[in-house]
Amino acid sequence: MSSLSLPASGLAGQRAMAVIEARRMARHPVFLLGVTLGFVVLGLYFVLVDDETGVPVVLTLPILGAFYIGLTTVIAAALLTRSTEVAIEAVATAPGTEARRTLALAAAGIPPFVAGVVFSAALVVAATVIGVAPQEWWFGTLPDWQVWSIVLMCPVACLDGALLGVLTGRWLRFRGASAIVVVALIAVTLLGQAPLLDTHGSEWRLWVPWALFHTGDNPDGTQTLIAGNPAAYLGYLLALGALAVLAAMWHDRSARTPRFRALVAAVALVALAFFALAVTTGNPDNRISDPIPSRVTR
Amino acid sequence: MARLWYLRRGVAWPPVLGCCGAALITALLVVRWPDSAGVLVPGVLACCAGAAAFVYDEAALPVVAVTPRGAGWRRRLRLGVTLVPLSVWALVVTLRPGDVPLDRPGWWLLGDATLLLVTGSAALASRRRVSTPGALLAPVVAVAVIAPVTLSGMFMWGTLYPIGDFPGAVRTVWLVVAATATVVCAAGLLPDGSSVRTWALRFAGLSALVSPSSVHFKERV
Repeated sequence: MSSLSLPASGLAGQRAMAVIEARRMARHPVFLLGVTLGFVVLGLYFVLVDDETGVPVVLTLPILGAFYIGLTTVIAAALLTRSTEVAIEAVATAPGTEARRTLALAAAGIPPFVAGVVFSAALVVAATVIGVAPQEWWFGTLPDWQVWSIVLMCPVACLDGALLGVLTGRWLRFRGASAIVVVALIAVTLLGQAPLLDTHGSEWRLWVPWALFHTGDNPDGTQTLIAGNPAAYLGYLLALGALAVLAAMWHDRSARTPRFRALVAAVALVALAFFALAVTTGNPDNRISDPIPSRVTR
Repeated sequence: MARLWYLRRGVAWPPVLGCCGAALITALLVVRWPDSAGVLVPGVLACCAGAAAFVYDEAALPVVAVTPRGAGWRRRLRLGVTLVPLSVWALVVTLRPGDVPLDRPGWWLLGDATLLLVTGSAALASRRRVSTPGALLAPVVAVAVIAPVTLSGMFMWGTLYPIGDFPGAVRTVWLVVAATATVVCAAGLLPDGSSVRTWALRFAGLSALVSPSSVHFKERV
């Protein structure tokens, strides 16, 4: 009911709507379940996976946050978006357009983003306190900006999960759409990069929405850092998220003004530019670390 | 005839069949990329489980629940629809797409246990007057089914989806899931107005404690 008393237009009204959507996401049980599972699994990893050298394969761990928080956020955001459709006739008479409501829904990405930042901070703090092997791909063996870029992929993936959920909720009306989107996302992410990881063209995997930069321990105790520029890839992920919001707003026919079309084209170009940068700069080839004796399995 | 008529019109066939179709498409991906079967075959299961989650979706639940046949009849009948995603799963495991060495009895067990658990959960939700449990259950189940894949590479306790041999410990885990699923299904199919406790007491031969005549018994005492 509070949304009906909002100002008809302007930044204040938009901000108030955004705060409401962010609060709805922060209280959504599916999102809370995902956050809880993500942190529990991370905690279990630190407790159970012991190694005399410290925390193993730290740079693979952001995937836990991206999976548990990011994927559940896709579901929660899609449900939040669809929930307003139940009262579409009442909502349609309220001030503001569907595009404005969609833009406000994008603020539902704030809680997952914050959860992802806390997850990454916990990861860095734990790795600093417990320690890592000197040969491990981490601060010291990699430039700091590369480590931070890979670690920050987690909160960006969580944010993008919410934006993808909004896009799903706006365009896909059939029941079970978010279930299909989740499975499709996993299949595309896997099949888009798995065949390329061990090849000379491994940097071309970077078009997928979650690219691996670290493959974990190899049987001979070494670790592989996959080619590409993680900082530019981070920019590419952010541009994909912006495109998801714009594509969701595109659902409102009245929003498709020439200015809006130009904005969509500009963001698409920015995404392509970041992709090109990610592929052509950074590590040109896969890098193999020095072997960690305690991790040799053959 | 009434049963078939109801199933044809009452079940939300588009999402059920849509998820089954997605499962078959994912199985085709396994044919093309058998090396990724460790994630894709659980993906097939996730789609089948998503289909099972929609079996109890009924927009007009408050109306249907008070018809002479009752909600219990409806819930028992709908359980049979689970055979559709179960058949898709059984077909995929039987055909072993991409010649992936799936241990058929083991994978049938884990699929049956998962689908039964999902259907039972949907039945329980339907019993609690949730008219469309699939909208929430299907995506959550899809993530939950694939989640163990992320853990298997990180922890030393192995995988719940073994390609090749099916270890005894994994079989035990899935047997526990199957037993839980049976209990959840039974609870979901209980007639309205009765609880699991009531039925457990009846089963134990203590019906005097729960039947209406027990009131007179108490009065006499």
